[in-house]
Order: sequence, then structure tokens, then C-alpha cells
Amino acid sequence: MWTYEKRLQYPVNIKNPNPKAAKIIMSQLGGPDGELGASMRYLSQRYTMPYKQVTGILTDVGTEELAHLEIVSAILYQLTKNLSIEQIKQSGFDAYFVDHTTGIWPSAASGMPFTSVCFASKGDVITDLHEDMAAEQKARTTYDNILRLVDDPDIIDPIKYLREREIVHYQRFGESLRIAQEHLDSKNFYAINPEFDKC
Amino acid sequence: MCNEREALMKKLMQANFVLDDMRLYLDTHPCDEEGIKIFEAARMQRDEFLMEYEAKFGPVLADNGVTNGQWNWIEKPWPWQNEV
Repeated sequence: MWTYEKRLQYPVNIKNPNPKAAKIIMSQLGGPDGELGASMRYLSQRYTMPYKQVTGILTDVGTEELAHLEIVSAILYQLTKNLSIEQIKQSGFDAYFVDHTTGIWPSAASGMPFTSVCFASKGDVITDLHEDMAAEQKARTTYDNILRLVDDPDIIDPIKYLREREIVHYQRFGESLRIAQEHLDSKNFYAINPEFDKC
Repeated sequence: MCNEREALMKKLMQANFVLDDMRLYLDTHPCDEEGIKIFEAARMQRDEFLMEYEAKFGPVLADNGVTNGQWNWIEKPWPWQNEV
């Protein structure tokens, strides 16, 4: 069960529309390392997770990613508000506009639609936590790349916040991996899969 | 446009952020007594700011969506509509 709070986790106040920036930031909505995939990854993995601390982390990070999905959507909404047809044509936003107008739809910057292929839920704690740590770093790299491509401080501010959260999540998943390994035979973490095998 | 609503929302966001961050920390450090104190202090602050914000500027939670017998939940702007 989830309850909606009518506020953003971090404020988004963009004064100047910028469809060119929207085209690239869109990747953090529905791209391979975006917030939709992030939330679905953790919220899917948690059901078979045997350790309560790790189930907690997957639930709470997965929930925070939904808040980040809303922040990225708010950025996209504000970047594409009140656009003229001239701005849409000149920025190259026309390829998106023809299918979605200025509606928010999750896809990568390349136009590839969101797909669950971009995340894993392998049903194995060691495998999934390595996936999660890598995912946080991939998202951090993507935010770094966005920061290389935009210069509006109104965009940079919330993007830097989201980038910082990837680092905190990476840290918490690293601790989760340590907790999982402490539960397993320290001589061989890979002897069994505690999400499946009875031991 | 630095008004009272924005200032109070900022306080609410800050208290909530402490909760968001500490929630994750406590998941992997459930026995950290200092962490639990920080979490509880932030929760009390959050509750105070939330009550004050909702009384002055309308519902943040749909459960508090009725104001003076009216469904007020849908009347105030949505968070992405921030007009600067």
C-alpha cells in the first residue's frame, strides 16, 4: 500500500522552457538507468528477499525512487511548458511531440521505450544486490553526463540532488550486501541461494 | 516570490528529508541509538510542520482533504505546477 503526499521530495522551479534539455533528461524517466526502472527493480526484488534489513532497504529505496520519478517528471513538465511550434521544431523536440505532444511518457533519450529488460530481478540475493549497486552507479554516471550537457542552474540544482541520492543508495546497498554475506557461510557465499534453497 | 507558503513547505521538505535519509540508514543500522534519536526528533518536527502547513495552505495528505466540509484535496496546485 502506498499513500501519496502532495509535495515533491526536492523542489523543482524551472523558469525557462528548454525542450533540448528535456530530450536528454527524459532518459532518467524511462531510460536504461532511469527512475522508473530503479523503482521497479527494487520493488520487484523485495518479495523473495530473506533478510529483513535488505527487504526494508528494497522497500524504502524503491519508494524513494517513485518520488524521484515524480521529480524527473516535474523537470520535464516545466521544461516543455508553453513551447511555441518554432521552439519545438528548432530544438528537435518535434520527433517526441508528434507522438506525445508535451505529455510525459517514459522512454530513453534515444527514443527507445521503457522496458523491464533494463533491470533484473534474479531471485538471488548476491546477484540482485550487485545489480542494485551497479544500477546506482549507472544512474550516477547518467546524472553526471546530464550535468555536462545542461547549464541552467534551475535544472542543475535538482539534478545534483538526484545524483547525490544515487551515492547514498549505493552505500546502503553495499551495507545490505555485507549483511547478506554475514548470513551466509563465510567460506563460500555462493554455495547456496538463500532466496530458493532450504538450508 | 518568497512567501510564507514556500518557506513553510521548505521546512516540511527538510524535516521529511531527514526522515527519508534516516529511514534507509536505520534499515541497515537498526541498533544505532543515536540514529533512532535523530529519526524521532525529525518525525516530531515533521508532524508539527505538516499540521501547520495543512491548516494554512491546504492538504498534503488526501486523508486531510476535507476542509470546512468541502473536498479541498484537488483545489490547490499539484507539486509539479510550481509557478515561479
